[in-house]
Amino acid sequence: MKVYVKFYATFRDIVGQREIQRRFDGTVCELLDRLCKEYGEEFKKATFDESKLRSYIKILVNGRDIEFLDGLHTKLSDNDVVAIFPPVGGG
Amino acid sequence: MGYADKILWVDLAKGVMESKELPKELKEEYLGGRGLGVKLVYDNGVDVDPLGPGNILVFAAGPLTGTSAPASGRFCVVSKSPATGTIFDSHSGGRWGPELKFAGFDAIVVKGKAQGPVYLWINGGGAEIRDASAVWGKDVFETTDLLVREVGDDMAKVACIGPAGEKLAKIASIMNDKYRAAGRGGLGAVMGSKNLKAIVVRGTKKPVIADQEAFDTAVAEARKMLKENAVTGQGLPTYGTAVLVNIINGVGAFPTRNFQTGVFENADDISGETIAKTILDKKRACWGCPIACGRGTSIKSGKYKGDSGEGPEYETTWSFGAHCGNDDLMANTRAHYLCNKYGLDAISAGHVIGTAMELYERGDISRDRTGMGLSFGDADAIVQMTEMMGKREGFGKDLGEGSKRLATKYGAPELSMDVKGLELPAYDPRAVQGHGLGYATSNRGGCHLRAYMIAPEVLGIPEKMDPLAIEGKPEMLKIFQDGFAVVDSLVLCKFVTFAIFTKHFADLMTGATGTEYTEESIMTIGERIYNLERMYNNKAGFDRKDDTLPKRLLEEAMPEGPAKGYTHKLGEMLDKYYGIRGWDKQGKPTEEKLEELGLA
Repeated sequence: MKVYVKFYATFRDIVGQREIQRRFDGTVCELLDRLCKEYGEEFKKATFDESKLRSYIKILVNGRDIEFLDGLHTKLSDNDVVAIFPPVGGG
Repeated sequence: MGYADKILWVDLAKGVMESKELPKELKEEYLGGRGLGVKLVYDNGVDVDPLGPGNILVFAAGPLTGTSAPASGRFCVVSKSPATGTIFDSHSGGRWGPELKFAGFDAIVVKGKAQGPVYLWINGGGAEIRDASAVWGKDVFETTDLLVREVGDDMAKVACIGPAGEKLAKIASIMNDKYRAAGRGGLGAVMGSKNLKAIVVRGTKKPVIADQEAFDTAVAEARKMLKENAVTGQGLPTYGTAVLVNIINGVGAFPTRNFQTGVFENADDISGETIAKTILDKKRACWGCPIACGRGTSIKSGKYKGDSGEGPEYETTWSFGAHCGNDDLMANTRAHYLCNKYGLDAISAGHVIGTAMELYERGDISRDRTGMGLSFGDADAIVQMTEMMGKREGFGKDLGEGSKRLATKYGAPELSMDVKGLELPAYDPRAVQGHGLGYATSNRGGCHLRAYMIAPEVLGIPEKMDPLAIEGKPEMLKIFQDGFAVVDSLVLCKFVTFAIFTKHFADLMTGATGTEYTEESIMTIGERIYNLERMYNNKAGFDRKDDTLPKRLLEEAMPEGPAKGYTHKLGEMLDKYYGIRGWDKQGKPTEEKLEELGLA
């Protein structure tokens, strides 16, 4: 099973890529753990405040905020697109 | 205290000016800024032609303008809009607002029409009407430089119109400090209709604060909150407003090709991230603002190489971009610069080109009429059309009338994506249901700044609400609408509301004015302002039939993305919203509500 991960704003700077593809089977939380291992401390610090997601970080799975799915426990399916945004605003 | 306590009344027909006290009850009941302007325009009556001499134009600062309160470098302009026919307030940042206050005035009220082009020179409490023949016809940048030179004070600040306003384009803006715009509603045309080219202000009087210690404490708290907040402390300063492009596109709410869909395949190419990597030179801040969302930019390659200015913002990278099916950031940026130069509302200008593109592709407008191909994605045509709009030349004249008049003229009014004649901004209501209710019920037409429901529906501020659900949206919308009326009346930048809200506003006002404000009392004032605007509009003939959205958004399902299959559920929310507001089924405030607010 594979998933696509898109990075935006500061996450894109940390990762150095717009989008990656990974063979993966699990939840959003497990995916983030894997990305933390892959991209190191800077990514982890940008994503988590201890074990909780940092405030205003947005994670969309196929365009839906995980808040309205199963949160960090959202189970990913084949070809899902996960988008990760740091705090953003505007108008 | 906090106020300058003076209003300058200007009668251009008679060529006279008079400085009068700012009445105490106006401060108590309407704060300043938008509230003050709305009350004055309401009292002037609805039976005026927006572009006739009877319409008044109010330039207003607020009680916090020019103080150390964060993001207080703003002002607003209030009038009857030639675009919508509603009461209308348009806001701008920069440095002009504080300078007006330093010059000793809370507001300037302009009525009548001058016989020839004039400008106002307001300097340290004094004021004169001067001949503007030498700058009539000049663009915003030339006018600003020439007038600063003419008054002989490099610190003078200029608010002016460009050729679009002079020639009464209904999407003309009022520009200040060259790059900042009171953009929406065509108030630049109201200025042009009065032969008023500019208002130049200069002053040194700092606002007097009633309780300095209490005010300083409130300011320190507000600044701390702004700094610590992830959006105002990091997101906006780092990437500017255009950082929204990808997330709004991600949730399927990024209107594309005149709202035919909510997903733009090349959104990343016109995003804040791409702006940062290609055209950004430095961040720019308005007076007294710790956020600094402004972008100083220059075009470094291609046919527009060497051009420089500010922007584009989120709204304009969208309006000239996704809305027109165009992923050429350099063309977007060039078009944005042209809007600043000629004095055009950059949301409406890009939007109306998108409208024209759909009309053109459907065959409603011929190439004979446009003078060039006008298909979606044609970046060259977008830039040329913007230039023609700014100069009011050829087909640009039709475009400058706005999308509603354009689409009606060419026989397809249903293709205009407007509310009450104001072109919708960069969020598709089908994918953000509460935000759509905000568009429909806005007192100034299709606007995202009467209530920014994107905050709860996408950003999770102050709480997360499912963008596709309708539960709780009417209630939250009222809080945003009333709260934003307060922000607009203080006058602060709405971006502070990502971090601070009514408690902080009340504390700042109590310190600045010495009058005790509470969260409740200040929100009541916001509600009063919103209802007075509604009363004006009701008298002007607006009611339930106008609190609606374009048919496309109500009947055509979103074709793709996370909101696929959704239409906007206005019908399921409108009665509830009216009920929460204390309005009847026609969208008019009930007698009980008016009595409660002291408006009966």
